[in-house]
Amino acid sequence: MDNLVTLTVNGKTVRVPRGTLLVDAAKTVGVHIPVFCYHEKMKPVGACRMCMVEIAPGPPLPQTACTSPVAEGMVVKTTSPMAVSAQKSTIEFLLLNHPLDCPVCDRGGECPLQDNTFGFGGAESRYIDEKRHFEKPLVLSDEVLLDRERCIMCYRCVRFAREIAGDESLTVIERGTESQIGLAPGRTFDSPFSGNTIEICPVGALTSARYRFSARPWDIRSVSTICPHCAVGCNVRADVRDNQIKRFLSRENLTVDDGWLCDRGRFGYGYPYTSGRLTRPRLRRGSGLTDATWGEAIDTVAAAVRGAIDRRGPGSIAGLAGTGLTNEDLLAFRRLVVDTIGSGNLDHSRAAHPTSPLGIDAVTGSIQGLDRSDVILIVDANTLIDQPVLNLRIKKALGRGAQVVVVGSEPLDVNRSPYRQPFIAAGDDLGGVLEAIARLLPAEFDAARARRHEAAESNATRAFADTVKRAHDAAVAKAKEASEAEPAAYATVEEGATRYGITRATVAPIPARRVRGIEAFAAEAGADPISPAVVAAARTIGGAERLSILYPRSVGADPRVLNAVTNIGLLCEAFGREGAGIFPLVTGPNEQGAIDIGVVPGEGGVSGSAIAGAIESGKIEILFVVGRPLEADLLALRGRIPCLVVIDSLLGPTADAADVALPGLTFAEKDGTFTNLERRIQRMRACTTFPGDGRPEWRILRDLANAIGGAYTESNSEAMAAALAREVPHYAGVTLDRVGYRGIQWPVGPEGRGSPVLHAGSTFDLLPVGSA
Amino acid sequence: MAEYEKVLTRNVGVPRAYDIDVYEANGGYAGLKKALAEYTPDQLIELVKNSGLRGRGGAGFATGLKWSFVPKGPMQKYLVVNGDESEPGTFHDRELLEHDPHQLVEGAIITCFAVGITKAFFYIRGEFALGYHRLKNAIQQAYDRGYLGTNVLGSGFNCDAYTIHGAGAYICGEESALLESLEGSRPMPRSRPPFPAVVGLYAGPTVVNSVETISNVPHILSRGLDWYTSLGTPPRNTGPFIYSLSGHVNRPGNHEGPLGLTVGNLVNDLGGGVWGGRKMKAFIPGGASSAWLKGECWDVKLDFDTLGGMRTMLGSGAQIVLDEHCCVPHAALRLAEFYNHESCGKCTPCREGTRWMVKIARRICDGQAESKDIDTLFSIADRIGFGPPNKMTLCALGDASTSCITSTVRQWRDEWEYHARTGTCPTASGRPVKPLD
Repeated sequence: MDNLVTLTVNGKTVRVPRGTLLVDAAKTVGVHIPVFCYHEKMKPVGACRMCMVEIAPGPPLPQTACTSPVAEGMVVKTTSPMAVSAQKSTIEFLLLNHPLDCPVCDRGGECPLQDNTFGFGGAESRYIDEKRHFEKPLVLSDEVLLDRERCIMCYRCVRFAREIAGDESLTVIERGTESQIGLAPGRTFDSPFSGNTIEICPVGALTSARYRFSARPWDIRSVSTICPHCAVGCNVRADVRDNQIKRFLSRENLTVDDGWLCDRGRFGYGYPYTSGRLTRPRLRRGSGLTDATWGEAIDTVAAAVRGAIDRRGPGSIAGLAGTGLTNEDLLAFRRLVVDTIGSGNLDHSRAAHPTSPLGIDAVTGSIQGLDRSDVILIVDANTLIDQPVLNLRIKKALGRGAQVVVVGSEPLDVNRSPYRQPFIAAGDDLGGVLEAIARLLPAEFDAARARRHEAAESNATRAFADTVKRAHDAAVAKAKEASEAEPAAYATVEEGATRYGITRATVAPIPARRVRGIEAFAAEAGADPISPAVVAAARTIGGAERLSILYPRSVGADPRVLNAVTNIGLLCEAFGREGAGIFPLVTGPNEQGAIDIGVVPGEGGVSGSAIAGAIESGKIEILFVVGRPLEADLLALRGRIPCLVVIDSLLGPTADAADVALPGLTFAEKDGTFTNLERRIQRMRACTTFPGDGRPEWRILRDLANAIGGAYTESNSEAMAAALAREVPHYAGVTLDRVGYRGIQWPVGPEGRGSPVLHAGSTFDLLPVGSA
Repeated sequence: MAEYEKVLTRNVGVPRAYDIDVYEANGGYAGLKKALAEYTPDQLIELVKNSGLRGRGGAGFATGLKWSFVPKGPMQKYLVVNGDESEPGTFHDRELLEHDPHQLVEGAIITCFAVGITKAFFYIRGEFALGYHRLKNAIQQAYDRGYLGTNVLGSGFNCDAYTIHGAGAYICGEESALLESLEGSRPMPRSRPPFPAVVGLYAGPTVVNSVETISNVPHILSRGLDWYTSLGTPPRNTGPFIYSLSGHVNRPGNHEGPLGLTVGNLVNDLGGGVWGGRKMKAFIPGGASSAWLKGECWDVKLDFDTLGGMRTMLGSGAQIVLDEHCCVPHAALRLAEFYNHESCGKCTPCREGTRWMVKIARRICDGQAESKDIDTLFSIADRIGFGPPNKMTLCALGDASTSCITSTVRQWRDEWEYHARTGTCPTASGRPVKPLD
């Protein structure tokens, strides 16, 4: 195997791919090399000098394992006297100016500096002089504080900001012993990803303004759950103390979040513990809302529903569900509105719904697939706001050399160095620009094919010349050895080839793309003048091996845009392959679940976008609003809604406007599953208990349905999860065991595995072009 | 000592030597013409290899060998001329820049041709305002005469030159930190390998040589290999050399001679002897970063290998004389303070260790210390790394910061002890330095 290197670490044989760093290679045989500055997601810098090991062959000096790539036959000792003494010295140097205030440090108990000191340091300090002092804490932002005395200058935070988040506000200032982490003049640490620096800081230098001094690592209970704040569904570890979540840490899931969280997610755990919770069922009696028992409240709603059905039929009842609800809640909601009441008036969104030209309303690829895409087309998407951690995945792609083409409105970070991207403003004509790109693609395919063929040809030519030269050199050497006359140099490579009997390998032509209907498509290329930016974009996209297209799902409501995007994907064969795909990005945390489960208007039903009109026309008797605030336009129509039933966890205008307000639970208090934007079903776990009388929404909805005539028997969320697998076609085969710790992407195959790719093996016809 | 005809500094003192007309009139650019007309790039590298030229900037690495490490091929390659001369005691590059910039430009063009480079960057220390100005003018004149630009002297070879000011950091003299600075980043050394010859400026293969090194190149061509290797001690210590002599001597300044003069030749014959008729107490043979020698080193040959064998080095080619009235611990403390101030702070041992050394050395000089503090001081210095098996730092600045401590504690331990005990200098005057009467 050409690509594997064999070496020994502490006498153990290691075989790892060429290019692996020693520090990672050692891990594969269970040898732990201590590090501070090294972080596997960032370029090594070799600054802290903690990972010193002895390497032979090489100079008789300790070397840093984090910057040394493995080499064949390398002999590495991590515990030789040379290595041990170097590691011990690094700890001594690092502790010289470290305040050693571990008893009052947030990091105490989970601190790599403590651990490495324990493992590799000496017991005594020889330092008796004054330590270095800095004013502290230095406030970097509302969320992040810096203690420069604790800082060991590993630069992880600065490197994260530069290399991963693309921010430049955090930097190193001063020099030498005075060097310190700080802010560029006039800046704050305004990154939406700033909290990650707290988590990767190997000491207690960067602390969270919310968490600091509120818990110790040994008196917290950790719950593996997911972030409830957007459709990425980052995996988090919720640390709980005194029945409150004290912090979120990343529970690294490389397939979803790559180990990062955004600040909205990381710091968004506090609202369940505010005083603004809806704690008891409330009924409108006369002019005001008063507390009621659950029995009274359920009976009141059931009576109202029965009355409305009797008077005006099930079509007079409508329901809007929020996208922060679990799949279990959403199933119970659908059961109530559709299966029990018999109404088609339900929705999870107030916006118009796009159709799905390929039959399945979901992302066709996976988030991790973006790591393999060579071109990413972003259409009108603002991931920095809507799916922040997905934004980091795009930056990661840029960092490894993928090309990004941005069309539509300008993303917020399009001009952030070093991620500056070409950007095509489409104005009102997004569909037109995309169509123009699609129309140019067939010609670009031919050009790209020619380029690749040319490159292959020139490689073959070079290899041919090399082979001839090697044969000649060997002949010369042989002649020299035998003291014979050396063969004369060859005049041309061909002459040498003939002399040594070498034939040139032929390069097979690369077949043209076979996309059904491509000929007709190319023929439609119009005569309109096309801007150079569009031509350049088409060139990039046409050269893509693996294209991913990202756009907000809502943009697809315009069929022209949707068709054009889909056509680009079809032309570039972006379907059914790893590392490619079409990504209609949902924004609500469990919006995908709502779509999958069918919290969408039924045949002839009133959609979310039409609900205001239906209310105004007096068509709606009862409106259920579950887990979402009422928008201002609906609140203004409150007087036209005879009965408003609200299930929510928070007080506010929506709960205040209700005729019946029923207390639900927040993410912090319930078990269930969410489906993220890449079809991944993941588990949310209850972290804390709610001191009020709230109940999980699915249970409230079940009780309502049963009071109206349903007969639902599920009594816990696990049973509801089983019901999901039975009743939701996409979720067939999904069990909580299969969801496990890392989630599973539907559809689940017969062998119980998820599907990172949709439409594998399917072929589609190109969609019609034009606004017709 | 034998008669020596100056080569590198021959134009110092010649009126308007920085002007191309004067330079050409004195035989300038003959080396370049010869290189382009008579040599292939590979032959040039071979020539420089055979000349024995070694880097004058500090490490003394074989120049031709360094050039040969640069991969062949069509990728963009760079020459970076290191003119960030800031080693205390060193001032020969400044003189070359101010008085003979064309010699450097000519050498740089030949280097580019030899290595297949089309872009040369001159990184000049910020304080060298006159040298920078004259170099810029020289480059412009070279463009005007067709020595630079497209199709140099009709040879089909293209070469462009750029000048950049440093901003005042000693660490920028370290080649990889210099490259960071050139790229517009904070100057911190890079971890090696890869070396600049493979991955250097803008990730392209890059030759980094100092001003004096490159200034040697035209003469190897114009005067030939035999002449060049006749200077010094072939095969590894050849060529002309500028000794930047300073300290307690009668004639401080740049003295040119063949490589390998003895300390006696330099200090007495060229430098006019120790000032005030005093005795030499200590001799720093290769800039502030080199280990000190005792004053009895008169017969030591100043070349790379002799000094290397004595655990010191020729370094940047700066020689500092300290007379018998100089307090060794105070002088060492001053240098330790310099390194503490100039440490870039990137790696732990240097950032923390240089500060620690200063703290202890200062306490010793103030008499606030005990004998075991001297042991600690020595062990820290040894730990940061003066050579195997202890070097721990990312770049050479760490090692450099320790030589003033290790060499003086080794050789003048009694003076350190006296200070620790009494807080006063053991010198005849009782003060760190006694001025001339």
